[in-house]
Amino acid sequence: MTSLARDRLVGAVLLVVAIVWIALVLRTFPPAMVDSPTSSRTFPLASGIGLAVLSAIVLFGTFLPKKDGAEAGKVITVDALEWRSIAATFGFMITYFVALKYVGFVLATLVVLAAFLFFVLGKRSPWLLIGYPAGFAFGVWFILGKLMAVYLPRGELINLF
Amino acid sequence: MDIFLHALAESLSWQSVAATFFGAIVGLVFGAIPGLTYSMALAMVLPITFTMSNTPAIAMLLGTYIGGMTGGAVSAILIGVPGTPSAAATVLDGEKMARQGKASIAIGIATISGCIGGVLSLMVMLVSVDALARVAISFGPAEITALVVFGLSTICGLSGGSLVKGLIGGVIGLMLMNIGQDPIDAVPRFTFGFTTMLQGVDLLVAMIGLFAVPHVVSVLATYWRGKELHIQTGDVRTEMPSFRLLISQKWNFLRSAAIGTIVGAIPGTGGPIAAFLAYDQAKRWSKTPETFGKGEVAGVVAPEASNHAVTGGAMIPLIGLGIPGDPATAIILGGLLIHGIQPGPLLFMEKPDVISSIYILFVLAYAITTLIQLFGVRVFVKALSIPPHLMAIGILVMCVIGSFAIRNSLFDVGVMCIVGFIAYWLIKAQIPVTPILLGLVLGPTLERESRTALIMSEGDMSIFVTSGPALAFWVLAVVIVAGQFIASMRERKAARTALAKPNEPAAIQETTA
Amino acid sequence: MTTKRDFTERVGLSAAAALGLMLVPMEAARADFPEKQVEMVTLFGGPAQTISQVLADMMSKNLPKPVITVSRPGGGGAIGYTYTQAAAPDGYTIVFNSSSISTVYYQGNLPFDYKAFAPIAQIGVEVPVLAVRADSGWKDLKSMVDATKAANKKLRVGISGLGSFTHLASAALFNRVGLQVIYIPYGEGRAPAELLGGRIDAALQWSSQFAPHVKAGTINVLCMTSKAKVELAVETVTCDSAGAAGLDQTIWRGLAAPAGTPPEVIAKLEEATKKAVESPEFVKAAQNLGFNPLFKSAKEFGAAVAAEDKEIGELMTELGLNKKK
Repeated sequence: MTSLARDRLVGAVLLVVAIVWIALVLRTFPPAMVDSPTSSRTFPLASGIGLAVLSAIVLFGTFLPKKDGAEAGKVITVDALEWRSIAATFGFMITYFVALKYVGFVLATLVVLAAFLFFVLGKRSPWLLIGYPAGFAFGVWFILGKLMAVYLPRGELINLF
Repeated sequence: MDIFLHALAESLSWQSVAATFFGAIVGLVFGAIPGLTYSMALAMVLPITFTMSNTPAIAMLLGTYIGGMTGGAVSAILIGVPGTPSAAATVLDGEKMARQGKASIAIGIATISGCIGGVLSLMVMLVSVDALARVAISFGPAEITALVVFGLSTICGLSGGSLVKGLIGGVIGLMLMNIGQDPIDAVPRFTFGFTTMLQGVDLLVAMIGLFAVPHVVSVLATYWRGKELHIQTGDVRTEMPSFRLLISQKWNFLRSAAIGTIVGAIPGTGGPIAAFLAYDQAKRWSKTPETFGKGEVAGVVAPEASNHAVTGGAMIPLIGLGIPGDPATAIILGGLLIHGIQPGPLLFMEKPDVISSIYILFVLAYAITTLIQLFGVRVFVKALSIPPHLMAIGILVMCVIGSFAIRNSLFDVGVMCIVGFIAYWLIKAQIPVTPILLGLVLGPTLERESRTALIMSEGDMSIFVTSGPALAFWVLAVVIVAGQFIASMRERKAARTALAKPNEPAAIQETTA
Repeated sequence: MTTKRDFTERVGLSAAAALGLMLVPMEAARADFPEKQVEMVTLFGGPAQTISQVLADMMSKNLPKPVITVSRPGGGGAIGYTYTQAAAPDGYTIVFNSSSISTVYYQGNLPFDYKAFAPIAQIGVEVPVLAVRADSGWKDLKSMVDATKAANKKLRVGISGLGSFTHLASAALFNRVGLQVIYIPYGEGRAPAELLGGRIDAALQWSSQFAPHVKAGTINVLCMTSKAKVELAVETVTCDSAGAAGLDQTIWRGLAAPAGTPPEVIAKLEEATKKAVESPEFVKAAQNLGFNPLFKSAKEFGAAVAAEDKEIGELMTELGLNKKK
C-alpha cells in the first residue's frame, strides 16, 4: 500500500466512523434533563462533526495533485511477522482477560504466561517456563496484593488464596 | 521561632522519617506501575495513619503523594508507558533518551527536576499561601475553560507533520472520553443500555492502551525479525546528570515550576495539563526546538519540574482554604481531618506548629524521595538488560493489572485492549499520539467546565471573555495558533523553494518525515 | 513505630490468611461466618470512602476475619450496586450504600432498586446545610428569600451534580420558599470554592466543608435540611423552623448485602457493625470528618430505606427527574 492509498483508506474509514457516531448521538441519546444551552449531546456532536470534516479533508486531499511524489509513492505494508505480533499481543490479552475472570490473578498469570512463553515465543528452558511466570505471579501477589493491599482480580470459579 | 524549632524537632524524629520513607516507597511503587496512581497509594496508606500521631501521619501522606508523583517518570522513561497521567509528557523525550542509552541520566534529571520544581513551589507557598489561594479561587469554570483551550492550542505545536492529522488525533481523544456517563446531566452516552458501560473510558485506562499496547506489538515484531536490541548490563551506564547540565536548565526550571504551581493551585485542573503546558513552553523558548521529541533533556526537565510543582500548588488551596483541588489532595484532607486538623485560614492562627510541620515534612519528603530515586536508578536501569520480548510480556501483565486496579473492574481491562487496538492502527495511519493524549486529558475538563459556565450564565457566551484571566488565556491561545500557522506557511514556502532545486531532495524528506 | 508494626502485622496476617484459605474447603458451614475476608464495596471517593475505611477497620476488630473496602466507583453508584447485586448472597460481598440507591434508580441508570438488597444496618446520616457568603449580609433563610425576591432575580445555587441528592434537597427547599433557582453542578467538594470566589450565591453541601470558613467569618450557614436538629460541624437551625416548613431531607448511609443472604450471616454482620459504630474511636473519627453516626438495626433500617425511597421517588417525579414513571 502506498502512503497515498493509506491516507485514502484512513480518510474513508474515519469518515464512516464519524457518520455512524453522529447518527448514534442523534438516535440513542436521551433528551436533556434540565433546561440548558448545552446538553449531553453538544460535545459528542461537535467532535463527531469535527472528525467528519477533518477526515473528509484527508480523503479529498488524496485526490488533489501532489507535489512530493516520492513521499506519496512510499510503500507501506503490514507483513506476516507484524500480523503475527498483533495476533500474539491481542490473543494474549483476551486469553488473560478471560482467565482472570474465571480463575483469578495467581492462577491466570501462572498458566497464561507459561503457555505464552511455550507456544508463542517458543521457549523451552524449564527454568524460564516455570521461574518467570511463578516469580511474576507470586511476586506481584505478595508485594502488591499483600504488602500494599492492592485488590487483585478474583476468579468467579476458582481462587488460589 | 520556638514553634518552628519544636516543629523541626518533631518532623525530624525517627518516627516521622520512617513514616516518610515508608510512604515514599509505597508512592514510588504505585507511581511507577501504569494504572496504579498516587491517589490509590494515598487511599491505601490512609488507614495506616489513623492510629498514628499527627506528625508521622502527615509525613506518611506527604511522602506517598510526592513519591507517587516521582515514580511516574521511571516507567515513562524505561518502558515508554507513563506511570501516572502527569508523567505522560515525560515519555516524549524520556523514552528516546533511554533508547540512546541515557536512561540513568534521564531518570536522574527527572528526579532532580522534580525535586527542584517541588521545592520551588513550596517556596511560593511559603511566601504567599494566602494571596495565592485567593487568586486560585478566582478561577471559575469560564477561566478554566480558557486555560484548557490554551492547553489545547499546543496541539498545533505538538502534532508533528500534518496539522490535520494532529487535529484528528485530538478529536478522537475527545470522542473516546465522551463514552459513558455524562459528567453534568448523568445521562448515559453510547452505553447501549448496559449498566457496566456507564463506567465509560477512564483516562488512565485509555492512556495505558495508547502507550503500552502498540509498544508491545512492535517489540514482538522486532523480536521475530531477529533484530532485537540486546543491551548488555555493562552498556547501561549509571551516569548522573552533570552540574553543568543542571545549570543550563535554570530558566526551564523556573518557568516550568511557575506553570506547575499556578496550574496546581487552581481547583479542577492538575498535573497532566501543567506538564504539557510546560513542555510546550520549553519547546517554544528553546534555541533548538527541533531536538524536542528526539531525546532532548529540556523535554524531560519541563514536564517533571512542572508536575512536581503541582504538588506544592495543590497544597495552596488545601492549606489556605481547606479546599482540595484534586482526588489526591482530597484524601490528604481526609487524613488531616481524622487527626483533628482542619486546614483553612484559621489553622495559621490556631495551630502554627502544624503549618510549620507541613512545610518541613514537605521538604523532607522531597529529600527522601530524591535520595531513594537516585540510589534506585542503578536497580531500575537493570530492567533494561532483560530481553525486550520478555519484558514486553511483563509490561502487558502489569498493564492489565494496572487497568483493573483503577476501579477494580474487568470492564476497564477490556477497554484498555480496545483502545490499544484502535491506537495501534491510528499510529499506523500516522496520526500522532500526543494530540490523542491531549484530547483524552483536556477533553473532559473542557466539556465539564464550559458546560458548567454556560449553565451559570444561562447560555450567555460572554461569560467566557468577561474576566481578565480568561481573556488573557484566549489571547495566548490565539497567539500560539497564529504563530504556528505563520511558521508552517514559511516552512512550506521554504520547502517549495528547496524542491525547485533538484539536487537537494533529502532535505524535504527530513522535514516532512 | 506504627509503620513497622503495621508492616510486620500485614506480613503475618497475610501468611496466616494464605495458610487458612488453603486448608479450609470452599463450601463450609455458615455457622463459622466469616471464614475469609469480607469485601465492602464502596461507591464514591472522598469523605464517604474515608468513613467506610474507618468502619471496615473497626469491624475487622469485631470479626475473626478482616473486612476490606473495595472501591467500585462509576455511574453515580450504579457500578458498585450492580456488582454487589450480582455477587453470591453469602455475606462476603456487602455494599456501603446510601440514598443514592434510590436516586440512581429513578434516574434510570439502574434496572433494580433497593429491594435487590438485604439491609444489614444503618451507620449514620448526613445532613446538608445551606451556606452563603458572609458579605451577602444574609443571616437567615428569611433575609435571603426576601432579598432575592425583592431583587427579582434567580438565585445561583451550587450542588454536587444534577439529579444528585444535594440537587433534590435544594429543590425541595427552594420550592417550599418559592424562589427561582439556577442549579450549578460541581463535582463533590468544589462548591465552597465557587461560593468564596463569588460566582454563586449559595451552596448546599456538607457542613464540614464550610466549617473553617464559618469560623473565619467568610461564610454564613443559614440552615440544615433535616427536620430534627442534629449536631453538625457548624451550629445552625433547621430550615423547617426557619421558614421552609416540613422540609426533611437527609442522606442515610448503611450496609447491605445481596437479597437472599442467610439471616444468621446478616445477624453476625449487624452485630459487628453495631459494635463498630458505637465504639469511641469511630465516634471520634466521624466527628472529625463531619459525619453523624446513627446505628439502626437491620429491621428498622429496611423500613427507613423503603420509606425514603418512596419520598425520593415522589420528589423526583415532582421535579421531572423521574425516568421510571
